[in-house]
Amino acid sequence: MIRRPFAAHPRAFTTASRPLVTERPDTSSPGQKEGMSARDTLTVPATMAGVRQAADTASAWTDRLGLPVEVRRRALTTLDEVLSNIVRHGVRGGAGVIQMTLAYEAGVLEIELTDDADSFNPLLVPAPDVGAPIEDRVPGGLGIALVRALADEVQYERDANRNRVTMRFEANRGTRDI
Amino acid sequence: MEIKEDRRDGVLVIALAGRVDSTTAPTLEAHLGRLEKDSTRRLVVDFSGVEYISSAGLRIMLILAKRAREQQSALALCALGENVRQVFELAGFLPLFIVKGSQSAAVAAVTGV
Repeated sequence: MIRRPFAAHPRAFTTASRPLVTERPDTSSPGQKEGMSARDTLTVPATMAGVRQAADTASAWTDRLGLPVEVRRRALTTLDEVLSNIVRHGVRGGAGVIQMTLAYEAGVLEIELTDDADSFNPLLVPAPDVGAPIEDRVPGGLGIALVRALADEVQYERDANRNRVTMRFEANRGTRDI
Repeated sequence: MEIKEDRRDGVLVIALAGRVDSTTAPTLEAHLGRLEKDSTRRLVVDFSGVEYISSAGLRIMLILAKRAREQQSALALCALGENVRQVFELAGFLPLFIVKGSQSAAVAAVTGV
């Protein structure tokens, strides 16, 4: 005699075996950052007011995730450099917008900034002479030098008439040697 | 960003707090621009409350350093947090300033000039 277990019936699988409450991974513990993930997008005007709004949002967002102060400060400094660069050089007439996506997964904070200005690769700005005497110092180019040094990874792409800068920060790398 | 002014042993101490970035730098630049020349003969900038500084803030520090040199006035910075110090170092700015750990040490450094 062939036994047909009740659970083998397709409807038994799709109804009775499905849990009523979906279990979620526990992200409430502060020590569980590796397992956390989050993603949010914000669009701001390409003006200094927009830069302030993006900075406030990124600051609150990374604080809420409980990211270490060291990585938050590196990320927020870098963010200011790229945003102010877009506003200063990129978007003409102040009519453009900047889209900021904040993502955190597997111990890596990623900030992606896209704007619809003319093609501009900030990574091609020449590095300043950081050993020059004070009389010869000019602030130009310092910002991008800081971006390169403070972000663990930074890339530029021109995609569908938009500039996209993506920066990544490892949350648990510790203090970097300069 | 907050800017606090204090006088200590004939030294003007400017204590900054919060972030010194492109959104706050114009306020700081305007504030420093309003200071009387005589009041900045001996100047200390205290960074103990500063969360982070970007190149917009560095630019103002460079202006201060150049002005101090032109006017032969004494300028010292103090209490740079790890991140602020790192940014100064990456920019090659540390050799341009007298940098002290504490406000007292910075005040002593500029009164001795």
